[in-house]
Amino acid sequence: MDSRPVPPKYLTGGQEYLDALVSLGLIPAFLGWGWDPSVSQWMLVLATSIVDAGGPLALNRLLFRAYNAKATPKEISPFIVRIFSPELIQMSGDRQFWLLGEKNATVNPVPGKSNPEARPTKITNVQKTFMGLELEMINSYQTLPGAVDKALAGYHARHHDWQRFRRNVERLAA
Amino acid sequence: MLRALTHAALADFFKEAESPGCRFAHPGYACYKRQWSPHPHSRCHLREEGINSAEPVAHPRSNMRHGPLCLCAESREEGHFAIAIQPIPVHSADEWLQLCARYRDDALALHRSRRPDGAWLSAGFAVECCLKAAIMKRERLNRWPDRDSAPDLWSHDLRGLFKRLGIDPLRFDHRNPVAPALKVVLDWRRDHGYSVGKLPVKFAGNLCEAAFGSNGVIEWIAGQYRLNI
Repeated sequence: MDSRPVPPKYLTGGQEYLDALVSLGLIPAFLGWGWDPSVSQWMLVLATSIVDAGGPLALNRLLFRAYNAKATPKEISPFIVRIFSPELIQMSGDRQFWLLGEKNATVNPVPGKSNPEARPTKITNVQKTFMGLELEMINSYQTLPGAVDKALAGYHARHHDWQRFRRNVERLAA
Repeated sequence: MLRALTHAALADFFKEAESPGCRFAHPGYACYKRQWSPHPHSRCHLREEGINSAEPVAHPRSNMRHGPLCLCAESREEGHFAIAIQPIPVHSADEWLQLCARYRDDALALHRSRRPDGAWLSAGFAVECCLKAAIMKRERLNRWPDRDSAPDLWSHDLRGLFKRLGIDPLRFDHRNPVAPALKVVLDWRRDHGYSVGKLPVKFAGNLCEAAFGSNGVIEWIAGQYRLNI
């Protein structure tokens, strides 16, 4: 699959979206741009466990509310945000998915005769197709430390995160 | 005129057929009332046609080997008859609405029975049928176009069907109370029916609410295009 870098204005808008979500208490397990070939459009892929706690409709209601209250960037319509549960990613058995959000990941080559002083090499890009969306590390944002583990921590943790995000958005819109 | 059905004929017919309520998929066959049957209906036309003599097949949930799938609808008030062997194409907005209501009822029944995968799929089909009815009404079509003349209408892509109706999500009023429901409905894909992962009950319930609830997509489309569902 050829690399398809996202336009810079999308990349900037996505970073602002990430900052806005974090300030509202939603820490994504993954956020990145994915190319949707079925509609020939960039979609912002958001993996968060609070979708399991609140459900997709309730979460979308909050995202629209935050958008209408101008708490999230105007350029990122909630219609282009695709939300997935981290459980779905775990169920697919593709643990390498999380590498997309690890900008500083390295590989350690095995020292050998031809390469006796093997040094860790930085991974520059990872490509994945997930649920029909073409994702790349270069189009993704750095996942905050511990966000993936927290997303998979269980019912009480995600319920707590959901309540926090809901309260923050409702306070904003009030 | 009924003809004796062979396994091959059944397989051809059901290759494309969808039985969203059935979890017991069997390659080439659909499951009727969750059972394969020889079948013992005394007045069944297919029995008279000698269908029982065909090679037996096993139901995936049964250790017993039975005859081929019986297409009799014994429990119907109209009496014994064979379900149409050839699919009957939809030709009017009213017929699309009938399909919409059928899929809606299926989705709600499956959701109540805690069968989220089937409920999810049926809810999406209900929206698709509603959209196709609205398209027929908006474009004043007196029959459903052929696949060659309008390939974009022969699609399960809800986003494309909404666009055909003149509804572009990116230009949709984000303050409209239907917007979150529309977003959830747009995330539905026909391909999800081929996923083996377990869908959470809450997800299916949310799609049903987004499609059929107040401020739901179907109610909104019906209001816009004066459809009686």
